[in-house]
Amino acid sequence: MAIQTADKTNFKDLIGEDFVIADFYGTTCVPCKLFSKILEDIEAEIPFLNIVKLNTTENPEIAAEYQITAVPTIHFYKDGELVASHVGVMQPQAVKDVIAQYMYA
Amino acid sequence: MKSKVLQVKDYREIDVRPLLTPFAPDEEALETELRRLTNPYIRWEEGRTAASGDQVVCRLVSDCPRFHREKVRFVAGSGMFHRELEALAAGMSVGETGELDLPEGRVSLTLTGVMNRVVPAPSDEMVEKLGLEGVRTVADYRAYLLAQQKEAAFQQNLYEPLRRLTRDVISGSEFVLCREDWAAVVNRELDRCRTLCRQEGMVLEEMTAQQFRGRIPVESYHELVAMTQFESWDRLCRYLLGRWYAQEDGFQPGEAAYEAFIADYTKTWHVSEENARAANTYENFIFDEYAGHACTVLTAYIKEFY
Repeated sequence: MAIQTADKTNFKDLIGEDFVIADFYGTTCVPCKLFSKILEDIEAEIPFLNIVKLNTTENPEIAAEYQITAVPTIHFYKDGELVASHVGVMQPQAVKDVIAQYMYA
Repeated sequence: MKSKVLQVKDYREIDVRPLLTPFAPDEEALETELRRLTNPYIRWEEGRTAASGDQVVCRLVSDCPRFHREKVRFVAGSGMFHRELEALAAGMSVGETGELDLPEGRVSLTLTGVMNRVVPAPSDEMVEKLGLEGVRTVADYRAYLLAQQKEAAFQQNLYEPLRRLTRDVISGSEFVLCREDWAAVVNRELDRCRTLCRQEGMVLEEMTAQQFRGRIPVESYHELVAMTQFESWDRLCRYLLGRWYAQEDGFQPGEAAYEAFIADYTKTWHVSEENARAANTYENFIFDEYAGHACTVLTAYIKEFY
């Protein structure tokens, strides 16, 4: 499962099923680029994860709807329901801890 | 502006080497970046025996519902499911069963499938596909990453050497500084803050400590005035230095640079062009560009010794 890039037309569909990590990032945000690399590493390690990226600079209406006030913000969804969230860069193990808590629940 | 610079201290007479922290490459970070090069080329091949990093499919039997599953898939050793069960799976072959006593109860794990992770070595072809100018081989890419690391370290450690070099250049130079120019710099900066606050629905002079928090590092309007007055003296000096250096190197900010700045500002801060222009007047922009140019020149000098 490759990392998928979402926009306002498909974001809700992409987070609607299974366990999904949603990365809200900004175009000029440096920490977002760092977290993006961490997500790419996790995707290379766990290829069957659902990861969705949403650019809040280009999709401000989605950012407002999901109350994103800072980037990066990471949301974890299980079957469309928000089960955990984090503002700021997450270290790989912290991401895996959330996966372990919710993906197999 | 009546203020002017009469004579500028030659920054090349100032030894900045004692101010610099020597660069020490972070080899671990470098290896991590090189490893990332292979991420898009990782293959998963059906196998018989699981090792750490492989995808495994298991059948779990336990009295604990969390560990009683007909089919569960995880990556052994990743920490994404359960550390001890992942460790148990690593080393097992398809069809093999192992047992583990966990605080939640005994768990029996039968390995039903394995996908081995195959990571190719970094190659020149992978580097070529990055499309980086002048970077064609793995050795080139390593050098490129090292240069990036060095630049990041330089920027991270720049503040103190630049502050001291600027201070020494200003104190060694001769200026004619007029009070009305300083007052104009102060008032322009306060006007900018006033406009930004108004655009957020606040009145600068009436802002509370809580409203200042996260916006401007002061607790009251009077603190802001004091801070702006204090900083504007050096800002005026930096502006005059920047003008001086610009005469030597041809630096000339103008309308085109201003328009590009406004376009970028509008996009970055999600504000209208009208608000962007109101908060960043052309006069302020040009002033900041020249002040910034002094920093650019002095930074380039510091870099020669890094």
